[in-house]
Amino acid sequence: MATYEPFSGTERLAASPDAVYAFVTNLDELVKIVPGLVSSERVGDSAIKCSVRPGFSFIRTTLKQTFTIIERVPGTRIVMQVDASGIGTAFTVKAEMDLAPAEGGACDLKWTATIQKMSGLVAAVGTTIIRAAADQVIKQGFDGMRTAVEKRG
Amino acid sequence: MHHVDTLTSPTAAKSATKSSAVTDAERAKLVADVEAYCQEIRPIEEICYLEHRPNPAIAELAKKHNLLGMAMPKEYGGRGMDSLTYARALVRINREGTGVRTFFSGHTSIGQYPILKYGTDEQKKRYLPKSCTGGCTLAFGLTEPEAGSNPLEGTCTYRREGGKLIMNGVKYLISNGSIADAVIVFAFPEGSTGKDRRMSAIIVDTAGDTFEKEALHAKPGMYTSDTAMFQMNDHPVNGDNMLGKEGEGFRIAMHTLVSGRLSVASGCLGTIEDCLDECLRYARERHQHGKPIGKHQLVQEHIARIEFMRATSDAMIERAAIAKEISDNAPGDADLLSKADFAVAEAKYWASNAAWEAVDRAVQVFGGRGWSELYRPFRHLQDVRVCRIYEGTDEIMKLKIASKLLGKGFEAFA
Repeated sequence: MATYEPFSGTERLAASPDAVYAFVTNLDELVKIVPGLVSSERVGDSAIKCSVRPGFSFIRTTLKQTFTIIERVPGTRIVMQVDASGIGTAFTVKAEMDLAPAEGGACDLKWTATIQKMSGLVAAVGTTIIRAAADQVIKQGFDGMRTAVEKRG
Repeated sequence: MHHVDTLTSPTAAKSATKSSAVTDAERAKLVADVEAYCQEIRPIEEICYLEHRPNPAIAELAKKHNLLGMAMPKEYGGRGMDSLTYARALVRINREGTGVRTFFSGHTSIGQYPILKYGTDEQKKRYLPKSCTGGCTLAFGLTEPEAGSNPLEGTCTYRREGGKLIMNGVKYLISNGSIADAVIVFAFPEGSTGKDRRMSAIIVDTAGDTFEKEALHAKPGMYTSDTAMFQMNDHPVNGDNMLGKEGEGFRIAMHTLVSGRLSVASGCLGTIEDCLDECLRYARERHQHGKPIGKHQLVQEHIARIEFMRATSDAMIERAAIAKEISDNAPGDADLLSKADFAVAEAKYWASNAAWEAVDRAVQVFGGRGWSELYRPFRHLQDVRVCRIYEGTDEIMKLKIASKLLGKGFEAFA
């Protein structure tokens, strides 16, 4: 497997850390911001399965994804694992999110996403394309999160 | 030696092409039907190509013009054409695009053909008549993400459960793969190792949730035809859908590829013919420096080279088609099959490389307009590159040719 540098960044959201924490750990709400979501189904308190069509030119397969919360500290930290598989493709991503209060009652969400496993056709695609696609998905995801949490306050 | 006696004699060649129960009038009717198909599909194909979308008319018009079983016996609803006549039909069809021809290769050359050659009477009756009349599109599933030139590295499996064969695994780059109703899938017994790990061919009906398929879009060219991957997840298949004997899959695959490679070679000749026609027309009409560009000697050089590519490919394809027909008429004759395999490998290698040179020269003749999908040469250029890869790469063809000339013990991958 090619080596992928972790993705990381910080997002400032106009909502309290508690509100952001509540949103991210509510998996039924969280998956609604996943780009290309087709359907979802809860599997216990900490996991949700969903079907996603990412719609990239190079991968239009339907991905079956499972989001599992593997660590949570109320109001400050969430660690989530995403297992995804499609026709001839599979990957696992670990996403770590740390929340901290910011000016004006806002929240700074510092995040890191690490590709832990990638196999099949997608593994042979160039790392630049993977990074570009991931950047696109992450941006769409945070745009959706911002809209959702800021609307709630 | 293979390279001098592929055709044992002109008499044998003549009898080979006359051996099928087809009259000259029936051949002429097929040629006319193919021409009508090509005339009707051209405007649809051109628009679909420019819009990079599948062309459903490829199959629909083939049904309308009764071209879905050109090389199948009449008793199964086909038109009973010999290998040479079928090859000529593919030459003409490929002038409309490699994608159009690839549909026929997937459906007939490597879809219907192995069922005809290795199927039981029941399998032939179940699949061939409906495949000749539009009720069942076929495909050939050999390639996998991690198994290309060496199919024995494949990981697709089957197991017997009750009266069923349960299939698992992924196939990749399969022509007609997302539109096929049935695919000839090559797989190994689940959990087998060592000598027990022998590949089998299985006719897999694609209906059901356990057969997931996906068209591949990240490809340069052939936008109008279907190239797909699919995944079988405990996919159940009738227990009597094993094609040939269990464990004979590799032999069936290699035999089928002889048919597939001839179809690719024929298609490449169609590409060359269309490029030549386009260049001749354009070189007469287009003026630069005060005269038709056809009067410029460097343009004439391109045209002469394209004609050399056409003439040599034509000769090799005819020779290969006759060798295949002789082999088809002598089932079980390993020597004749080996000679057909050799002649077809030569034709496939030569024609696909000749077509690559021809399209490049045709684009050059068209100049700035050559670098556009609006014009036929560039569409052919995008499409034809795959012909040096699928159904056996250039490298595999060269290894096959050289090792057969050198004799036993010289197989590069033995």
